[in-house]
Amino acid sequence: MTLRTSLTVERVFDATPEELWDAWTDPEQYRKWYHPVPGMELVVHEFDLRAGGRIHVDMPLPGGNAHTTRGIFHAVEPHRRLVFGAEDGSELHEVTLAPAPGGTRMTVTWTSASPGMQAPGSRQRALMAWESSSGKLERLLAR
Amino acid sequence: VDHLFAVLADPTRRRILETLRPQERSVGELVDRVGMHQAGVSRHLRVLRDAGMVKVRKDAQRRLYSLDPGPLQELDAWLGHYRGLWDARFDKLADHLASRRRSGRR
Repeated sequence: MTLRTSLTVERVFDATPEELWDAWTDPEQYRKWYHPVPGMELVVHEFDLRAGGRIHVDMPLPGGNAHTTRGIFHAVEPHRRLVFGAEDGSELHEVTLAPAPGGTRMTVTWTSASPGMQAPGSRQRALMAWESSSGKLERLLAR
Repeated sequence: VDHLFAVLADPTRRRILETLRPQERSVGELVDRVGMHQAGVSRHLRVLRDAGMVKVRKDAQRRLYSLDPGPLQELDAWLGHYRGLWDARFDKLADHLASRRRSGRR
């Protein structure tokens, strides 16, 4: 059995699902906000937005190196769901968008498979989830 | 960190950690509180000890288990870093969306 570690962050944005979808899927927008350091941007090499299409971006790091993400889009469901990551699915980001009071709830789930790691019993995944605003671990559960 | 997730993926092990949070316990006390037979509890305790999450000491005829907070603090620090990364990203995204609206682009 392969254990998949899964981490979820979410926030409600004062925006429509369409605006958020465009922010993720228009490389001109995506490169501007995705870098977590203020004032820094991604370098987009490949961005072929369709299921199976390639994505290759570099995130320059303050020290001069770069963190490279290279993979494919696994699911492209306009205004609702975007999945991208390693071609073999060993590491994935899943973005879901849903209308919510105050705008649109955006959920980002990162999963990483750790081959060779045995998860005893029937549980396959550990899920650590928290409210991104609260600053503490909200719940710890398996699914 | 991956290994800590694997250890914590099991609900019985999380119950054992919860039970040990306020005070140390013997295996017998853990059996009563966790609701699993002794062999199962002992097996999970071994995994938790190997991961450094639980310590044991001898008290006369009993072995008393207690929480070792180190690995959980490490996990909490790692999660805090991850959350901070996404908080920063979400803040930039919110600013980005607001500035697009101000400039009339949708």
